[in-house]
Amino acid sequence: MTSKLDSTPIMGSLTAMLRIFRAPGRLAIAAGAGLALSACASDLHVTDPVNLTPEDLGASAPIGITINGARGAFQRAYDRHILYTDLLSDAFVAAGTFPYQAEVDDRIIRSNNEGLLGDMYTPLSVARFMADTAIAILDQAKGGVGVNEAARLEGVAQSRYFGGYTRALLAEAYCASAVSGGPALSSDARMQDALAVFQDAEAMATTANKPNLMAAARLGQARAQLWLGNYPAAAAAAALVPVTGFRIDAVYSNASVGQKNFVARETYGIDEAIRFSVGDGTVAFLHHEKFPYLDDFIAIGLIKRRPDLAAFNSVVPVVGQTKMLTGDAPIPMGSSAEAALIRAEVLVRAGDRSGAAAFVNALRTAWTLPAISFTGPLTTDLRVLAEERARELYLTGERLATLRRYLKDGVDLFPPGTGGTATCFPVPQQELDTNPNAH
Amino acid sequence: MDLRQVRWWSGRFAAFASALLVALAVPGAAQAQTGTITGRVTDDASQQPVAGVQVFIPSRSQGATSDAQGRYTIGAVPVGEHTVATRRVGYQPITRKVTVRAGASTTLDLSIAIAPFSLDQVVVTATGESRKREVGAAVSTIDASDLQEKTGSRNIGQLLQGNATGVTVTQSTGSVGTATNIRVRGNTSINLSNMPLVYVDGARINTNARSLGVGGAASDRFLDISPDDIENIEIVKGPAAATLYGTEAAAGVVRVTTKRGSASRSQTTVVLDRGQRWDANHYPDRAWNARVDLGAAYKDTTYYINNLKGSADMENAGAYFNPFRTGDAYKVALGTRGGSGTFGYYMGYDLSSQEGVFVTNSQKQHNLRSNLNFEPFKDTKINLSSGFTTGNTAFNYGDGESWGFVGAAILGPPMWSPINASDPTTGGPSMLTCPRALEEARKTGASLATQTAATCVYDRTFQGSNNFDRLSTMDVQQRLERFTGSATAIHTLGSLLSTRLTAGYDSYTERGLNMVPNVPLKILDSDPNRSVTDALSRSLTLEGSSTLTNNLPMQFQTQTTVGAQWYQTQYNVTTATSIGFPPGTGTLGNGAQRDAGEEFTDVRTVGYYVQEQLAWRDRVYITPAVRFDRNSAFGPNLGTIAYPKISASWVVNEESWFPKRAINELRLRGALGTSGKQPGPFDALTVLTTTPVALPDGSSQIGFFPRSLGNSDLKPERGQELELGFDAKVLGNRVRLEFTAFNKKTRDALVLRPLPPSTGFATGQWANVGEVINKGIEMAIDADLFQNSFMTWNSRLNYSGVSSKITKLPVPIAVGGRGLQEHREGNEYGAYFMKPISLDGSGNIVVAPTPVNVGHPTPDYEGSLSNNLTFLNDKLAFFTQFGYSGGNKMIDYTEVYQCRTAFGTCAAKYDRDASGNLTPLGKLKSDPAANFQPYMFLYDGSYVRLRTISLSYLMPQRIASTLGASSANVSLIGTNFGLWTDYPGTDPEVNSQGRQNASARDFLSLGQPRSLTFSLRLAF
Repeated sequence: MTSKLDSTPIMGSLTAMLRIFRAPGRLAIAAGAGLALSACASDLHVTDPVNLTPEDLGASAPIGITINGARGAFQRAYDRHILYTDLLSDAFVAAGTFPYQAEVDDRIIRSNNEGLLGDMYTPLSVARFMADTAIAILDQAKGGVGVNEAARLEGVAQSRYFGGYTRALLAEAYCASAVSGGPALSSDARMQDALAVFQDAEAMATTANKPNLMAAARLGQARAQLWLGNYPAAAAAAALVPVTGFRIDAVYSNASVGQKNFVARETYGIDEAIRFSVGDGTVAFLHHEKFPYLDDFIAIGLIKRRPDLAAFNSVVPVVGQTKMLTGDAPIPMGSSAEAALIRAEVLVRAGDRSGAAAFVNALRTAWTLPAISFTGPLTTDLRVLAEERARELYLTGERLATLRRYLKDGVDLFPPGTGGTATCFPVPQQELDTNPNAH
Repeated sequence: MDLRQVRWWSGRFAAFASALLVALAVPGAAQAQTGTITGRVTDDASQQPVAGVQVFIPSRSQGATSDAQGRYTIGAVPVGEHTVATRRVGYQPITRKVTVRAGASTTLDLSIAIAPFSLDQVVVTATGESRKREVGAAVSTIDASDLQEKTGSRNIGQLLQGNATGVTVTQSTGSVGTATNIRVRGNTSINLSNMPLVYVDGARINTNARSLGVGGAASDRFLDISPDDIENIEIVKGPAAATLYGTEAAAGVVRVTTKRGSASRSQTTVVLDRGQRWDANHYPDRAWNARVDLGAAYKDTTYYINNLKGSADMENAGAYFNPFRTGDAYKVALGTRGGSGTFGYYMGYDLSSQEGVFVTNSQKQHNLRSNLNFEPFKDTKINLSSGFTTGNTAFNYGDGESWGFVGAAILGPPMWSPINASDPTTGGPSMLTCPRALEEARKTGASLATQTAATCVYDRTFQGSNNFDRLSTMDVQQRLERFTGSATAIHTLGSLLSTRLTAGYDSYTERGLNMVPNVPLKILDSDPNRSVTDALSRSLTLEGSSTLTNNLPMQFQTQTTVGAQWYQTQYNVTTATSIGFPPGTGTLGNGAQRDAGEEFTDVRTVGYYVQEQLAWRDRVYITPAVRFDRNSAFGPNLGTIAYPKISASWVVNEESWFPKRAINELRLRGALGTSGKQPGPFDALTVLTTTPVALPDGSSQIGFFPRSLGNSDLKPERGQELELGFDAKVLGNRVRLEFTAFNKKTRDALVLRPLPPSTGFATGQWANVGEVINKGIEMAIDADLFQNSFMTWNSRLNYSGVSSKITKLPVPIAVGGRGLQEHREGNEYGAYFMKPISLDGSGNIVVAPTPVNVGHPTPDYEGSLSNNLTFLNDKLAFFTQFGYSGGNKMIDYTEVYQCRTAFGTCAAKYDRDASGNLTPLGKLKSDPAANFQPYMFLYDGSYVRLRTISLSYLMPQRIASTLGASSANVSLIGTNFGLWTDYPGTDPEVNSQGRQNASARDFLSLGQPRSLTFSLRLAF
């Protein structure tokens, strides 16, 4: 065949070359296509190097990343929990623009927990899941080749502690809460659950011979017993915590955004807008109460007015906490001070006011504050204790728990708000929609 | 790409290339004595020349394309009698006999008639080219080259908008380069993408829209196709028609065919466009914060945005940095096509430059296309198509978010505020704005503290947003390089066997740069930062099919087609971010904190199909077919999926008994078919992810987290569709009708089923548990209303009505994340669930106890009305196109945002009656006790818009000749010159959520701009 096409050298050469293949002919068309395509069926398996599957981890998951997973999940949940529980209490006011934050501040929380689900409930659930999963994986690793038994035992103890702590936070903040798709337990029932896990944690920490973890687990038990009203048991557990020098922290890092302390970020505008401020009561509209200890805390430098900073909504003046100024600031999970305050409260409730004052005044000395005494009645003493707890345990998530506990004693410290009366977070609608056991 | 992948790709190419080469190895034909056929193609009605008509000899696969003067020449035609045929989209094909003598030129002038509804129009199907009469499902065809002359469309999305029934096109914002949302016959999937598949000359392309991380705006790779290169666009609308496209085609298929050449004298077209666009939207007036007393001097929230655009009554107007502009746009497009013998070519290049209405938004793009088609042997055609695009798009920072230009202006004075200043009028902080000080500091680098208060004005500002100066320093860019190519070999063995092989490859590199510089204008929400994102996409399409035609007794004919397709797409994204660097720097290495990440997607599909078409007397067609698919994303418990279909078409008017006087032409058609939509590539797997964790010793180490819970039973969702319709011509062929009714059901819809959060798996689990039904009708009426030697008037009305309902869904799914919309069983797709609120007789607020369905975002009906008037034998043309849409609700989230947050306001000016008193709705909006109810801000989203108005004139030949051209056409094209709507927000046709399913949200969105373009089109 000759065509115009053949008249060009390149196409002419191409045509000539193609003619070599005349012999195989047309049947080869189908054969070639079939060859090209039939091989494809075996190539349908694809892999994603970004993600891990449980099979990738296998039965001998590295102990390190298992334990780290539990810690990381907890730390990521804990700072957010602090922000939102303090918003529902009186420790923060909303200075941002997200409606759900304003609603929490105004003590109106929609049943769908919009926004809060992802910011609060789910991270805490992930933390609980990761703690329990780590225990399961570490149990499987027992006796494995190359497994460092001491590290494994410490990991189990630590994971149990995180597991107990997440349950305690669920109990203190939520009117009811579920675990692993189980029933939505009341705060008290969930705290019983937490208590049991803390007891397991103590046992494992003892086996692992980790005194700090033992103290942490005991303090956790004291906290749970206090919530449950088992005051002697609370005092007994707290008494096992070193009187001074004990502290266990959730730790954060500036190495990446995800590792930073979210309380510091949201109150100081670190990579973020300032959406949480201490209320000074100067803006007279929705949900902008004055923090009752504003002046006292400013006097000791625990909080500070920051006219040089503006909140995201430009309306709420920034009054910033000074406890965590950087993204890598740690947040205490437990301390000797908390144990002392538990023991003081038990004494107050038992009528031993001087004994209680001794514990409290020891703490006040560190702030160079004058000594106080408890005069009764109990409701008055609890109001005093509330401020002591607020100062010592500032931004550890204790405030909402304290307000809820004292409300049972007739001491209402919740801010008035303008619309709602919520004192705890509801079970999120998604949990109710998807978990038939949660109703 | 690792070595294994390199081997795989190269192996696949080698195998397929071998097949292509073998396909070419077929016998040639001996040369004989020849002559030439030449002539001119004109429009039957206007007698004007028609360009781009394929004039060919079907028996020899020889032909030419008419030039701008309608002239064509077919050379080297063997002596003897031949049948010559014409083909052009939008025109009725004709055939003529001609006798060619040796060495002589035979003249054959051809007169063809416009026939947009012609049954012999050729459409491209999954199995190759077919006549429309053979296809049982409705396929919309857009004559892009013709439409482009009328509308001057800047992208393919604009070409589609309003020009095909059942196709919904939504712009996310009025900014240049941002994503377009395409829906065909409603919403097919609940959680998967509802974008149709797109093929360009047989190569499936990636139409990903990637968020830019600065608000709702996203880039759109669908818009990379140059409208000047497109010959036509076909929309295959649903599973009934798209069955043979297999898994992923349930949402429809868009087939783009680019221009080609054929044996004819070279013809070159030059298009020079010059235009401007500006923001003609009026942003609704609303009062300032109702709860903060600012005194009498407060401004409406939209005072600034409306006045910065030109009004002189704003105090200190000159002190403000004004980001608005009239954006310039120009385009230079060159296209040349021609060929000789059996060789044809099309070469195209265009440079398109557009400026948005904000100073930071612009796009410049180069497109280069080279298409070759040749017939190396008598019975073998080769089509080579290649397109290369490179461009740079600069986006606004924070489109559709509070920290963008619109947000800065609507939410407060768009200027920097030294927050430690004290406002003497109120005594409070944060009330002072110093635009002049800012300007000086910006220009000189001087300290803001040295500026005097004399340059300041007092007003409120919204600290949560940016200021205009700051925004103007943001640098958000995307650079693109893209190649899309395909090779198709078609071998015919007489009229018996036709074999087609196609290899298509689409590859692009998209580099995103996002820079928040360190300048003394720091905003609250962002430290200086820079991120670089590289997205690499590779898509490979390999297709092959053979069709065996068999003529049977009694005028029966069968066409048996077997085919196979392999498709693979890989999409890899690498991201690096650096935060906190000192002034004067801005590279990734300068930041105090650096992060990096990668993501991979790899999807592979292999499919085989067989189709049997039974034809009787070339007027009755019954076509059953089935496709079998396997896909890498199917769960391990799933093997091969089968998608069957059957269609029928009956050209009734060709029956002898048909009363042709009343109805000139009538075809009845119907199709029933299924198609699929695959799950995500790794959705079947339970996946953990790793992340760095801070440890007590100060180090960071890796820990793992749960990411998603897999489902080994995952399978594709199945779209099943029944459509019935007819095509008709009445009143002496002057009125053409198309009607289709469809019922499309998506079974086993893939749903990201929420899990109990208490399980610890936050993202939910994919499962085939949903069902969606889309029912509707499509109708097009095309009428020659008037026609004489002076004037013609053609009018076309497109109408589509569709109802999208969720018919099965175990658990309601929130849409958009803000508690406004839900997918809920028994309700419309993405319906608004809100608590209705009202005032009772005593003026008390009554809020319904539970949220109820109060409307839906998807329009019940939409369409367009086009009118084309020509005068002076088509020399002068006047074209208008109105678009309309209605039956849906639109949430004005800007109002919600203002109202529900602490700095918000409620009652707007439009919430007052003529006497200035608040309407009942205004009272509700003004009452703090009601201000959390978004129901108050849900409005009717209906509108009518004058999309396009254009006037074009074919200049006298002598003027064209002075320019050295054979023809010259000038056009003035305006877009968006009218909007009629009750929607009180900025624009009812924006969606700040980009391509998100079901969303119709106006949140601080830039409305559609108005534009005016002058276009000169020269043909040589």
